[in-house]
Amino acid sequence: MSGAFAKLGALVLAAVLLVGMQRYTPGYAEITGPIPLTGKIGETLTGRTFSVRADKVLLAERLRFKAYGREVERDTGGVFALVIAALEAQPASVNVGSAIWRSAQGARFVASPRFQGAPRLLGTDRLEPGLPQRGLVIFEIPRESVAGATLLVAASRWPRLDTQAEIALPATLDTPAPLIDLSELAYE
Amino acid sequence: MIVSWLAGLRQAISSKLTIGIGGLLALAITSGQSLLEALEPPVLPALAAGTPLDAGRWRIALHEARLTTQSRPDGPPAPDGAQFLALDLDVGNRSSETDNTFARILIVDPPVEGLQPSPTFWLMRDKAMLSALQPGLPERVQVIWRLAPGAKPPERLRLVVNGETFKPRDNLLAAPGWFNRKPIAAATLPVARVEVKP
Repeated sequence: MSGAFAKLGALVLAAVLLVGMQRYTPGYAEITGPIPLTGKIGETLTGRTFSVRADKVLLAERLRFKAYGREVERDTGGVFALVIAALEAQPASVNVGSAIWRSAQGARFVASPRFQGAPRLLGTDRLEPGLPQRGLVIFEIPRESVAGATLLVAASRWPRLDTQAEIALPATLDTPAPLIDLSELAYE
Repeated sequence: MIVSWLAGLRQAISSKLTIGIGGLLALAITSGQSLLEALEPPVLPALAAGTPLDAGRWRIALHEARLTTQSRPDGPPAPDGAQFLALDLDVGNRSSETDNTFARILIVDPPVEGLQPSPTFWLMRDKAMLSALQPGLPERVQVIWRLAPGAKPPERLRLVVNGETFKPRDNLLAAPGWFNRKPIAAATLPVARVEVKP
């Protein structure tokens, strides 16, 4: 009788273990995912192939810039968030191709592709060691995604076993400026 | 001796029966499935112009289709009298990530003869090519197909909207993603004619 109980107990235990493992073991994407490097605004974070420092966040309703000799003005249904940052490659030349605005709700906004040709956009040129680049990244986000966001910087959009700088952005920001001219922006 | 022989016989019969019943059941299920697939008429829910539809990753509302001579929303008429088919729609990204796979939302079905297969998506806000849609920011978009020279412009356009389903963990990498794209609705829009200026 006790033998039967033991057998049944072992079976139940095995089933519980299997279900638990199925539910709670991290998946392949998770265990080979990005290696986070967390920090605050104004702090220099040094990852495997680059270092990054985010200095300032500005909000605007419209942006004006000059691209290919033409004056362009862009508006949005939400708001533009501009992050002024410095990037440097180390120890070797690298392309840091991905900047993502992760909202407090978890939505991931890739840097807006609507600013091709705008001056001093980060992520368009290759970075060289010893030659830090200062510039900006522009995001287009709904107003409710502004507060409490995180800036994710990595070599690619989905880094695999590679650095992803995660910079906590200010919880509250000024009200958006009606218009920012990118050529008059103070980067320093 | 006879007892063990009888037991062996019983076992053999029961295993054969099990195999036979299982096989027949599998056969019945697969033939039933293929029969159902053959019988099921591909009737899609009709989508009216201007009505928003949640198609998984996208929220889409189709507006107006028309024949035009412009290859882009704001440009001058294309040279050599080329004709284009323009479709106005609103698209919103319902997912939690910036996306650029909007070209998969729509298919022209049945295909129109002489219509270029891959259209251009224009962001009306910028009058520039649409390159990505941000989550939570719906946009007015114009889709423009080029008609082959000499092709007869269609009277009406039937568009099939594709939907996708979200999987928090996919089967290969256990990563979240949108899968199983399939038609979920169809809209038939009249194609408005432009006045030909003398």
